Amino acid sequence: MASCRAKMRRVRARAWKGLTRRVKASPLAQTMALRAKAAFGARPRRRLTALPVALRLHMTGQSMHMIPGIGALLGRAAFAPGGLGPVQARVGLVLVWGGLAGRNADSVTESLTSVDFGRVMIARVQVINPFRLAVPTLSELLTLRPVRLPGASLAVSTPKVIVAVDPQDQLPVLLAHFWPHTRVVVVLTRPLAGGVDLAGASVVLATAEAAAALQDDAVPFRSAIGALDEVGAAVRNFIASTSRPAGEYLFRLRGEAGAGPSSWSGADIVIEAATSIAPDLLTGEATYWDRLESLISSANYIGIRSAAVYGYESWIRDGQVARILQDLLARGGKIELNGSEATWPRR
Amino acid sequence: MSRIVHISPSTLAGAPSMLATAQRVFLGHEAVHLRCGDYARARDAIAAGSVPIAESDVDRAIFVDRVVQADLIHVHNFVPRFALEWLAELGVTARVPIVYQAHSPIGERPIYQDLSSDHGIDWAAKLAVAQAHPRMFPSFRILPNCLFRDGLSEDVRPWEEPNDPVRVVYSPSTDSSNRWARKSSPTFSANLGALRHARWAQVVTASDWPPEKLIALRRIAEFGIDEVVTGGFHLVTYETMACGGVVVNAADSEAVAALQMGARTAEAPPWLITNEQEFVDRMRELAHDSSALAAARRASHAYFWTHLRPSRVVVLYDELYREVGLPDSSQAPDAPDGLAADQLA
Repeated sequence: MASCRAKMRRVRARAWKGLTRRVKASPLAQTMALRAKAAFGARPRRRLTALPVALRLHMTGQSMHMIPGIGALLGRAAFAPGGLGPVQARVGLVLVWGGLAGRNADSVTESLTSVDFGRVMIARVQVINPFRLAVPTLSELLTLRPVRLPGASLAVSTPKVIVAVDPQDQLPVLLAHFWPHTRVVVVLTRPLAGGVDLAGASVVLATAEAAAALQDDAVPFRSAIGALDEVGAAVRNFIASTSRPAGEYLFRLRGEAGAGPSSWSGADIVIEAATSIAPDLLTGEATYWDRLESLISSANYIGIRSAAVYGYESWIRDGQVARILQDLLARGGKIELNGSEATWPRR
Repeated sequence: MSRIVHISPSTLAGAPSMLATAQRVFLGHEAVHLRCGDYARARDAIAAGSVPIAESDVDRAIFVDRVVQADLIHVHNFVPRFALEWLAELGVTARVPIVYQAHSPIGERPIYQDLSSDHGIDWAAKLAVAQAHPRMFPSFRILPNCLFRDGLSEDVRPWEEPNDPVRVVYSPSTDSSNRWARKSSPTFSANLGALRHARWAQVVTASDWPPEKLIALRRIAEFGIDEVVTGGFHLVTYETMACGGVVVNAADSEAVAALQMGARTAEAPPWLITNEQEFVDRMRELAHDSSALAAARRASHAYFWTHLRPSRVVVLYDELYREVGLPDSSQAPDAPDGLAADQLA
């Protein structure tokens, strides 16, 4: 028994070593790729390299630990090099998430690989058993990168984007909640299946037919696409959103849709305050948080015109308006106060 | 009298040393500024009265002598590693209240981020200077810088004899391209170049001038351009106001709010708030209206000496010090102009 356990440990260690290194350079990965070819037939089109992923889970209370090794086969991933130099540090991997026979997911993958993503890895993920709890660890494992430090060798997770094509269950959208560095782009080519909540999605790209059926106001951003080959460029723009030109992206954090200013004067953040700022803030010992929260509580409309808002989906969902504003302001966002009763000095 | 030790890694435009000096003069504290870096001789003039401390046995003895007697330690930006080790060896961090103050923005040199948690010190209070900084340190208390230099006087009345052409002072101390430390841009430089050729203005660029000469220049100048590119403002704005000049800056609503909150006043500062495209036109309009120009200068001067005068600012700091445990020792023997709490509002 002890010998068997030791052998298991060696196998797991080799698998871990192989999976956390560049997959192409790993003998284990090469072996697994060959096995995948035998198991799933010819590898996907273009330059994709298929890799079946096997791992096990160790659950301890609320936490979940991955144990790569000879566990159940959960899915397979096919990789292709991409390229998006300036955002390389922010996004390491784009995962296209679809079913085994997801032809639209294949088309989206093809669309992505035709766009210049620099050194960002693109992977087509085919989940074999989407109902297993282990599936989230599939994406996490795929984004582990080795970091070698003096006296230590660590594996860290890189930020990733999941492109969920016509999701049939909640899982790919839920991944954004499992890992804070995960952002989800949902691509809908047909009306959404029942039971799938898109509130966790960062952006929804939908065809006209699918968009018409989409009634969920909680989805923060949506955009219409005509054909699947537009998805690649849209995802690239999404990833590179901080470089988008200012002025085209308006997001309302508070207030009614029609309550905002009729025209934008160029400010990144517009706060329309209905009441004056509490005088205590000026003459007391308040912090800037106090001021910001007072400002927000007195406002009947807060809008942001900034491409950078794309990075705040989770804060938007959680209603952390003050945190969003503070962060945007710290990065140089301009604020403009509207409203006749606002006593704050205006530019 | 209390013993206050200010520690900073650099001159920080003289802010810690000016605060220490004002605390000595107005409140009778035994305040000292230990400058643990930025040793160039030219920096001594900017941080007049500060004690340069390097990593040596003699300097350690000087440092220890001051710190072990301190009733309160006020750290500005951060404590360099060697000085932090000295502090830890002395065990003062558990004995006296230590206050942290951020003087620089995040995301750029010299602090890049909120370093307060990196010291391993349980701060009695965290402060941010009342400029552009509070938005980056939102949970910190806001206090203004203390401008206290030789040559500054409330009694100066420069607006009574306007110059023709009007004198404009532009004194960038750094050539940074950082988000919040920038003083210039291509558009600004082009417009400033046009201003230099205008008949109605005489632009004096004063880089690397001794502080006393710069103050003397501001006293005879109508305008002082701080910077019009970031949305923040700097000590130039304080100096220009103190000397009765019209401040030209691009302070956004949050920077203005920070100053008001720091100075505890609902009165908005009377600045010529503009931008890099329009500042020349706005200055020309004012320069050609002598009565409006005189009124603007008067208002600027009055704002500083009402809300930001050093004798008042040191009391704001002193209130905070008392809150965090500075012993309430005897009052300053010659505290001027009645620094009672009811006069702060």
